[in-house]
Parts: sequence; C-alpha cells; structure tokens
Amino acid sequence: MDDRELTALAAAFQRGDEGSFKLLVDALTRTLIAMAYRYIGDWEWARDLTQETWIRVYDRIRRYDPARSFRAWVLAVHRNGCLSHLRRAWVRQETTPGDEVIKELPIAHHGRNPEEDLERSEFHRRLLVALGELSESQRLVFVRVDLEQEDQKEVAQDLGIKPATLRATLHFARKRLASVLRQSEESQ
Amino acid sequence: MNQRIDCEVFQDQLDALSEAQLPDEGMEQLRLHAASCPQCAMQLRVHEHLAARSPRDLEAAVPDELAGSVWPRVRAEIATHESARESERSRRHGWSWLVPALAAATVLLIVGSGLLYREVKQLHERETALVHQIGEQQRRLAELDLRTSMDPAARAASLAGRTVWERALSRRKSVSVAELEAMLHSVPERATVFSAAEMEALSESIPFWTATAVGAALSEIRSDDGIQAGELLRLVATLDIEPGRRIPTARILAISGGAARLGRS
Ligand SMILES: [Zn+2]
Repeated sequence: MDDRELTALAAAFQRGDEGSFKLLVDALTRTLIAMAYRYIGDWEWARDLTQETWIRVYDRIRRYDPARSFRAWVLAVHRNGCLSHLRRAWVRQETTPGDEVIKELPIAHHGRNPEEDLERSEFHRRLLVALGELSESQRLVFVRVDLEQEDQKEVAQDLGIKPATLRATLHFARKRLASVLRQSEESQ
Repeated sequence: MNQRIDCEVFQDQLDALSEAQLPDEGMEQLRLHAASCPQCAMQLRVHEHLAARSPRDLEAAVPDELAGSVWPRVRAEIATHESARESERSRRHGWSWLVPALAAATVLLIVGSGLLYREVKQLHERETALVHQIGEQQRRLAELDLRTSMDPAARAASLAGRTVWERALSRRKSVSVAELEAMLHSVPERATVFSAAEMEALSESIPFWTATAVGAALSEIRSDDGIQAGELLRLVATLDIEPGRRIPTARILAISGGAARLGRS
C-alpha cells in the first residue's frame, strides 16, 4: 500500500471508520516489527512494542495531521516508543549498581551459527548500552541514518536541518559510540 | 594504486558506503585505514553489524505467526480500555489553563533552549526570535483569557496567581528547573496546560526541536484537546535535563510578558 492510500485510510479512521484502522494495522505491522527488531534485537519485544504503538495510534489518531504522511507519523510514534523502552533501561542502569538491568534487553538468535549469533547479540547489546551515552540529537540522527538506514538527505529534510549539520552530528555520534564501545571492550 | 587516507576521509567514505556508493578501491582504503586505526575500525564494525541485514530483508524475515498475533492483541486491548478512556476524555475539560500554561511554557522553553545551548551554534539568533514569538503567544493568551467563559472570581484568582508568581520570580535572580517543575506538579494532572494551537505554535517556533526527543514527544502529544499537565511532566522527565540547572528569571519574565507588566522591559 503506498503512502497516499495509507494516509487516506488514516483520514477515514480519523472520521470514525474503525474498519480503516484494521487495514492500517495489517498494512504496516510487519514494517513496525522489523523496525523495532533493529532497535531491540528480539522478536517478542519487537511485537510487544508494535502492539503498544498501535494502541497509541488508536488513542491519538485525532492528533494526526492528514496533510502529512501517515506512514512517517506512525514511524515517529514507533521510534519514540522504541527509544523510550531503551531509555528506561538506561535510566535503571544508572541508578542501580551492576549490569543486571541492561541484560533485560534480550537479543534473539538467528540459529545459523550459534557462536557467531552469540557474538552478534553481545555486540548489539553493548551497542544499545553505548547509544545511551549520546546526546538526544546525536542519538536521533544515528538511529535514523545508521540503524534504520534512512537516506541522509531525507532525514535532514524531515528534521528541518541542513544536510551538512546532519552529517556533522552523525560523524560526532559515530565517533562517540566507537569510543564508548572501545572502552567497554577494554573493561571486559 | 592505494592511497593512505586519514580519519576524516574515512568518515566520508563510510557515508558513501552507507549509501552504497563506494567503489572497490575506496573499500580497500577503508580497510587499510581501519587496520591501523582502532577508533575507525570500531566504526566500521558498527556499520557492518547494522548493515548486515537490510530493512527490506528483515521485514521479509518477520515470522508470520508473530505478525498475525498483533491485531488480535490490539483489538482486545482496545476493547478492555475503551470505557476507561471515555470517562477520561470527559474529565479533561473545563480547567483554567492560564497560570499552568505560563509555567509549562517556561519549562518547555528551558528544556528546549537547554538542548539548543548544547547543540546548536546559532543559538542566539534563534532564541531572540523565540522570545519574540513566545511574547506574541502570551499576548494572544491574555486576549483569550478575556474571552473565556470563566466566572469572574476564578478569572481574578487566575490573574492574581500569575501576578504573584511573576512578582515572586522578579525578586530572585534565578530559579531552578526543579522549582519550575514543581509549579506543574501543583496543578491537577489532567488540567489542560496548552491548547492544541499553542502547542503547534510553540513547536514550530523551534525547528531544531524536531531533531530531539522533545520534537518526537511533541509530535506524539499534539492533540485536539491540547496537552495536560501530567503529559507535560512526563515529557520533561524523559529528558536528561539537570534539575538543579538555574535559569535567569529575567529570561522567564521576558517570555511570560511579565517583565513588561511589571514595568521592566
Ligand atoms: Zn581513523
């Protein structure tokens, strides 16, 4: 379903057509699960976060502006949900000693090569922890460009910043992440 | 022939790689540099980790039963909470939002400009424009107040509250973020502190907010019924702003229009 069809459905739902809501859920659920998986690295969590996003969309559909892309709006709501989920883990890690809480971020295994999967999982977990060390804007730019793999120009346009500003922020974010990851590697 | 590249060129080539626009020779240079630079090697590792599966591949890999389980769960949850939601909606209306709106505007502005301070070089111009726009907002707010159907006693109390607050502020040089948040805590959680139009104007007045968690959260809470005190507090709580951070009161008064009323322009 293309952007215009989705937006038309969302407008219909906004006018009270509940059937359109189900069509939207059907059309975008796989996209949302895949996106959350990129963040969290676990299918079950990805499904739960997607479910939460749809409830939020249902509750807040009146706040959606049909002049804008519905897909972009849902992705923004979902991204915020994924980041909030991570943020809760970061906050708890800061307030409690030890590494326990961050282990609540589970990483699924693909099952091809268990040893390689475990290493990937561990690296992803450390990456998520390191993500907590970025500033809000560095983090947002990093997750959109490198994690979600959106086009730099489109992200810059969406955020209302110059492509050069975006690139500079992205480069800072990558360097900072690499530093934090190297520190965590050394401390192991 | 392979040329040696430095860390800056490495960054540019990593961008090219992300956009699948790096020729083989560039890839060679990238690896050669990474071999001798642990910092860039780690960046390359992060890139390869994240690029291992494209979003498209991953979407195709979502297990069918997992995708299929979402709608029944969503439908069940909506059915369970629908009645609770209805009563919540009906309780929202009828609050005097003038005083809390000023506190909320201040908190939002401080949070926003705190991020701007850290992250945007052209802070000064933007802030000047912002203060001007907020001033406009406050003038419109004041006009709206005169047109509300609030009973005269309530309106007088509301205006008196604002004046007291402004006078209290004007006696101090600065106030902490925690103290300002306390103002929000002092109003009922469901009190509407901003109308939808004010939220809109406020968020549009600060384009860079869209690049922060504030922007994301604002776009989520944009509403026909405006924003409630509880929602705003939760938003503020998600930001990593120092509670002890002190803000010059002159700045707050300039925003709320209080400086003008108190005869200090
Ligand atoms: Zn280097």
